[in-house]
Parts: sequence; structure tokens; C-alpha cells
Amino acid sequence: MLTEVAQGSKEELVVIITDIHEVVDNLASSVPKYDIWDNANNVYKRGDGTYANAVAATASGMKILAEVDHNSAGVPWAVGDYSLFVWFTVGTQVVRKGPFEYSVVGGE
Amino acid sequence: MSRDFSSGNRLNVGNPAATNIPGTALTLSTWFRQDAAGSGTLIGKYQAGTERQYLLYVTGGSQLSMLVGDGGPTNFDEAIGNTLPNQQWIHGAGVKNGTGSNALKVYVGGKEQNSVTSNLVMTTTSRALLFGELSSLNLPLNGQMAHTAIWDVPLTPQEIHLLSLGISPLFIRPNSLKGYWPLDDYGASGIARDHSLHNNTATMTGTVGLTPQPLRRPISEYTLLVGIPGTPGVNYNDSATVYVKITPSGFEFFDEEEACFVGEGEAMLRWEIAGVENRWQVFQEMEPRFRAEFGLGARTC
Repeated sequence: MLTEVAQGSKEELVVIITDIHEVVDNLASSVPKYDIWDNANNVYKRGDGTYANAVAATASGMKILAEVDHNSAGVPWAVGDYSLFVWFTVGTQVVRKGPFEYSVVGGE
Repeated sequence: MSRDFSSGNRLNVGNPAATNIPGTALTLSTWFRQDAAGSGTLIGKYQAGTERQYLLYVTGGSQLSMLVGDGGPTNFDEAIGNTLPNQQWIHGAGVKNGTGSNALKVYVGGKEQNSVTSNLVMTTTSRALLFGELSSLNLPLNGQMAHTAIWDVPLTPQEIHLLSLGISPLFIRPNSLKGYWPLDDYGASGIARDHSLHNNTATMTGTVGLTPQPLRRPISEYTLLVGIPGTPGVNYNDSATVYVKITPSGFEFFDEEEACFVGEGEAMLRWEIAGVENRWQVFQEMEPRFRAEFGLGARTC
């Protein structure tokens, strides 16, 4: 079952990163970002798939926190499945993780 | 791992039929590392003035030399290579291929360094096959040796090249492999096992210890190559190159297009033994440096 977010929510999505080398233990200075893909309509709702145009996120330790407003110009996103990608940089690496699929669900 | 040789210390295979090779077809192959410049016996079934059959050794001028004789005390043909470095692992090989011009060759690092005319025909002798010394205190090797092998066929330059890349002798013409001593073991009383079908264990005279002197690890019969571009810990790239086909006569390389990769972090391989195809056998797994788990920041139950 996909993670669910209520329609219209502005909510923090969390991605926990693990460095298998156990070298990196804090991503606060890694310039984290995110973008979101609308699975149904095959378009980006946030960002455009490049690091340069991705949306700023924050990081706490190894958690990347993406505060996603599921509204565009005050209009709630359509109910459906979306994919979150997160970005961060470590040295010369520009890492993108995802897709992390989740659902925007409507009220009963 | 390897075995460490010095003066007065050697390994003795004796004189089994498998390595008492007559005729004009022979290949000797070994990895070796000398502690210092100078001469040293690698593979010898040979004694000047007594019985000369075959010998691979390093000359006093630090050159690899391949000799074959006719079994008698006097006659021999010799191909001598270029000056070798010491304190460095080297793959050396010698090939006797029929008679006439270029019938005797010596290879270093997988490349031919010299070929000479050889019209002698080897005969069997009563001489023991020794590693590290020609006889007691005679032409001792001061250094290490590993993955020593003998075939009763002349391997091709391509096969010698594969050996120099670390391919196990077990993969190269196994039906003609007359002895293969990895020299990475030290059995009871210092014996070294023969991993060929002939199983002619070498016994130890003196002390030929096991040393961790690092040799680039030869590919075992269970391991195949995968090339991984990128620098571990810096930039992992999820791609690989796969390329080995095993046949009764040796190795063949697959075309690059025949390599198969599936998914992120996995390299898989198609390979054959004796014409029987084995598909998609997992060879080596790779994974990106960073893993990720996903969830909501404020969980609701």
C-alpha cells in the first residue's frame, strides 16, 4: 500500500538516506532538493527532473525533509499517484533517489 | 599467496608420467617474483651434463629463458627474453611448438620476447621435476612463485596472454594440462598440491614457506571478470562489462553486445562451458553508495 497524503495537504515527506560506507552522517550541507512527478499525467508537478530546477528541501542528519504543498495556486492536486525524487550532493556526486511513490487521496 | 624459495629449498614433483613429456609440444607457465636481480630456477626437469629435458629459469642477467633438450647430457635449444625487473610479479611462459624456425618461444607478461629455431625432440628422462632449484644448491630462485603449470601442447599466444591476465590454468586446455600447482597452499610437511587431474603433489625439500606476498589474484575456476568503471567510494557506476566464454580449448571473449545487465545494482552474465550455455548467472552484485527509505514526516495512525 502506498503512503497516502490527504488531498490539499501541505506536508513534510521524509526520505532517510544511508551511506553504505558510513562516511556521510549528515546531509545538512548537502543542498538537498526534491522534485515530484505526476504519474497519471506524466508531467512534473515540482521541478523538471534536473538538479538545477529542483525545489529546495532541508536535511536533518541523514533525513531529507521535503515540505510539499499539494496545491498549485490554491488548487488542490488531483487525487492520484505521484513520485517523489530527492537530490543531494556529496563531493562531486549529485545523487538523486527515487521514485518514492505515494498517493494523494480524497475525502470520503 | 605464494611459496617463498631460497637457496637449498625447493619443491619436488618427482618424475610422474604426466610431466615426463617427450616430443615437441610443451608449455611451461608460472608467476614469479625475484627478491633481487640474478638467476633462479622456476620449472626444471633438467641437469646439464646429465639429462636435459626442459627448463624455464631466469638467467644471471635476469632474463627469462626457456630451454628444451633431447634428454641427453649435451644438446639443448634456448630462447632468452629481455632483462626483467625484480621485486615485481611477472608472468613467464615458454612454448615448444614442433621443430624448425620459431619453434621455441619465451613470453613475459603475455607477450613474446624471443623465438628461436629448435629442431630438438624431447625424450623422457629419469630426472625429477623441481621448482626453485635445478638440483641441490644449483641455480636457486630467491623469490616467490605461484600458479605454476605445464601442458603437453603448445599454447597459442592468445592463451598465454590470458594466463598473464590472471586466467586460471584450469581454464586453458584442461585436457592437456599435465600439472597445475597454485602454490597458495602449504600442506603437511610443506607439500604443494597439484590441482590438475593428475594430482602429482610436490614435496618440500628444506623450507619453502607460504608467503602472503601479494600476487594479483588469479581468477579461480569459480570467478569471472567484471569490469566496473568508476572509483569505489567516489562515483559508483551501475554498469559492467562481461565477456568470458569457456570452451574445451580455452577462452573466448563474448562480444560486448552479448553482455547482459539487469536492473540497478546487478551485473549478470551469460557463459558457456563445453558448449553448454548457462544463462544469467549472477556474477557480482553492485549497489549504489546511498540507500533511501521513504515515509511521511508526521505519521498518522
